[in-house]
Amino acid sequence: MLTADLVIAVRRKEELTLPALTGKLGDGVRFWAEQVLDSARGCVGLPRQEYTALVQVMGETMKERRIARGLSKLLEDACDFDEANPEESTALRRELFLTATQSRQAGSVDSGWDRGAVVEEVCAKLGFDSSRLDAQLYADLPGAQRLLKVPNWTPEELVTIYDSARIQAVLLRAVQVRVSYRRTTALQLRALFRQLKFRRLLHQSERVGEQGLCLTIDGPYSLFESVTKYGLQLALMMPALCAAGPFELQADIQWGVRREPLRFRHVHNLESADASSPGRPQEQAEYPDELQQLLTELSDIPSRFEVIPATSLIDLPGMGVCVPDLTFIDRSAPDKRIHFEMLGYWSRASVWKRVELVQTGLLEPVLFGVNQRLRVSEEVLDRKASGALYVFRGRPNAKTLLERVERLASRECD
Amino acid sequence: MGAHTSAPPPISLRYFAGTLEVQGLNSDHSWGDEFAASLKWDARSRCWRCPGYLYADVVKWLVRSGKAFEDKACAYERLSLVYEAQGRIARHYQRLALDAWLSEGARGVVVLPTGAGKSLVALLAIADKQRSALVVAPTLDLVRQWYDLLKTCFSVDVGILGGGEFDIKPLTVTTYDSAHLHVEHWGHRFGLVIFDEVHHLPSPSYQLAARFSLAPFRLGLTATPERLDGANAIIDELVGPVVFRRDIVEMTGEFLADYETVRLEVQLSPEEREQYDEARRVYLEFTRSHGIRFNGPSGWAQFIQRAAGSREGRRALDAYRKQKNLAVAAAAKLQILSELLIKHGKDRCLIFTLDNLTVYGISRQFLIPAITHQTKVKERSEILARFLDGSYGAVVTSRVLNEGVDVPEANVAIVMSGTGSVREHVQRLGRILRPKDGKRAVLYELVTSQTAETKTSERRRDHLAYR
Repeated sequence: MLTADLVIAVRRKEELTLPALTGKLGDGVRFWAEQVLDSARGCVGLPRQEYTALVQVMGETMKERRIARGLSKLLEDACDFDEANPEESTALRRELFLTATQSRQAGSVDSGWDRGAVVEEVCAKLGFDSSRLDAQLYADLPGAQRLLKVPNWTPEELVTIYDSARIQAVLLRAVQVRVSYRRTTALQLRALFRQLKFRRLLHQSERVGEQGLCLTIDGPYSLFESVTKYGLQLALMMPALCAAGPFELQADIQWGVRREPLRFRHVHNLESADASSPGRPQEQAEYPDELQQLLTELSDIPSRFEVIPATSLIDLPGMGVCVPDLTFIDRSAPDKRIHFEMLGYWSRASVWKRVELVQTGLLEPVLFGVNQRLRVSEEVLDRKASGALYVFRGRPNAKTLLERVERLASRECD
Repeated sequence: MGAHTSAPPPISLRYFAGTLEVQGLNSDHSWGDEFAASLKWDARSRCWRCPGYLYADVVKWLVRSGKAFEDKACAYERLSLVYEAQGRIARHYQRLALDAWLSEGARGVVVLPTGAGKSLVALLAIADKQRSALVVAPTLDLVRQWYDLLKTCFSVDVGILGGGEFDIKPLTVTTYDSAHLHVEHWGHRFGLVIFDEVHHLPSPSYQLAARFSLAPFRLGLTATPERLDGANAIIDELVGPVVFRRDIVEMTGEFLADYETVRLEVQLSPEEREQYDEARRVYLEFTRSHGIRFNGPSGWAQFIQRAAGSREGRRALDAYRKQKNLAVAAAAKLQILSELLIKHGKDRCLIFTLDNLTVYGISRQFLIPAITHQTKVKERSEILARFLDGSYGAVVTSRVLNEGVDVPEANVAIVMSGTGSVREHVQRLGRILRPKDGKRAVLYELVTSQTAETKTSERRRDHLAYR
């Protein structure tokens, strides 16, 4: 990963921007990509330090040096290196240092100390060629590792990798990120939320239009202080953010040695989003097996409801959005919809959060599937509430689920 | 499995990623505003939240106000450790230090000179509190040393976090780096945290290790608590105030080895002098022509910024590095080192430099074992063990042995080069002050005269230990 100190960025008032890699700058980056690749390929079979020494002198200005080092860092991360046998060097050092200590202890200020004699004695003892001594003494240090293989990238490919890496490098300094999706799906969001949970990040969400959503992402401690502690996790979120569809990102960052508070914006694929069909991004998300099976079972049971994977988000005014898994559409009145969200079996607190939400009033009826292991009773919500709990044992039963949906739907008609 | 319930859960505390979540309190603040400044409503998770280090205050408040609560946050254990002194008998001042810490609610900082036995105070604290304890140390060498000490004195398995290991036990040792990177995963598993060399803690990233930890009991250890940036208030807030202090001059002779410091000035060779003067002229011309003054707080940053912008600037930066390298690594210093190594052939010498390049240069030239951040833990242990038993008479290092490493046999320190930091220089001296019968320690400081290094040397000697 590119580090923030290797990024060329432009500061305008309170905003940090990454200059587009076009025109003179684009030509420059491509030139250095070529130099870096050529240097690495020329160093195959040589110690790593030979390659790094070549890169260190690349570039006249600080800007050029930074570009060359950034490109080189990304390339070096992808190269294969051979680690010398550390045992051989360690044994050589041990023998040399022990012998040197003994010879010093035996000597005096008048007689001095003879390095050559120590080297000769040790090399004779180990059967080691003394001309190789300097190279072998610290051959196990990273700088001495031999470069074995350089990725088969073209300069253009390296520039493309560099271009994406710059955004992650800026996010390493982020304290909070706001991401706006014009169009996304429940499945994509579920995948995104799983990633957020995995990375122990928290978010607040706000619905924008029919299929859009704005997410504010940071960490639990951000409530008290703006810290870059979550920067790495936010940077690592980039692939998951991209997989959830085209977006516009705004990050609050702390930049430079003085950690100046700045704003950074980035747009991902918005042009393609305007042209693409609404269903396209959904193909990228995976539907969990458990829900897929439930969907199949529900489809096999004759019912007045058509069951589809949920595609819309439900507004929770003042609290964000709810992301259901399934939507039951009344065939006789397609406007009437009941949503179903299956909750995980590990968090009782999340059930109580849903209960609180229902009690404050949902705009659309939702049935929440709750595993019996969470020890929550269905009666916790009264019969007139805008949502209900379906407590199941093991896994949800399709027939019972449909009954509960019917019950909730009839409650809505009352 | 318990019965199904229709009642909302009572107040509960949960540890989440370095923070304390309080569920079950009304969201309207109707429970009182004593904690209004600390507990904040978190709409993201619909709960109240505060930094982990306020856990003890929240629990005390809940108990005081008679509120029933379920504590799912605290995951540390009460232990039944038996402290085996192993010949380490607590001295009077170490007992006083422990008492002072306990009387402050088991929170605070103990300041003792290097070699005076700060770690024994920590062992006594662990034995007294009998809670899962974490020791945070600045380097892997110190982690290794704490690991051995805890294992020997309590006869239990000790965990290590860092250096490729992730093994949590009721007694665990880690580095500040690992602590701040991973504390959110285990900040609730220790009731006592000991911050060795606590002056490191106030850095923006390291202090999160203390903020994210629930531990009600906290002990800081240091020989050099003062920070130039005035960040001591952070230590007060996160660990506690200085509860006990003894200075180096109060203890020398009785509790620390006698010592002397010798400053040796060397001259640049005529060739080196010519190169030095030329390089210095180039960089000073640049700084003067751009109005850069190094006596201001942003002088260096300004220089780097200006130097980045032009070819002339880069030349000035290269010139700056060259004149500095010539001063700190003058050939005459190596000649003196050669003589000192012969003179102290039967002593134990620690050689300190400013950078790793010089460390490896000296190691190759004088065939002396080197310890840098690149030296693997196994080899470090072997080098230090051989240094301890006398099969190695000298070790060369840059900064990784500045702090805490306990080698009582070391009696000669040779400072080839260093920063202007008083703390660094005092710590280097401390490495040779561990008491031993009849021991007299000597610290040599090699300085290239008529170079910028003389001012650096003056700055770092500004401590009563050098007067």
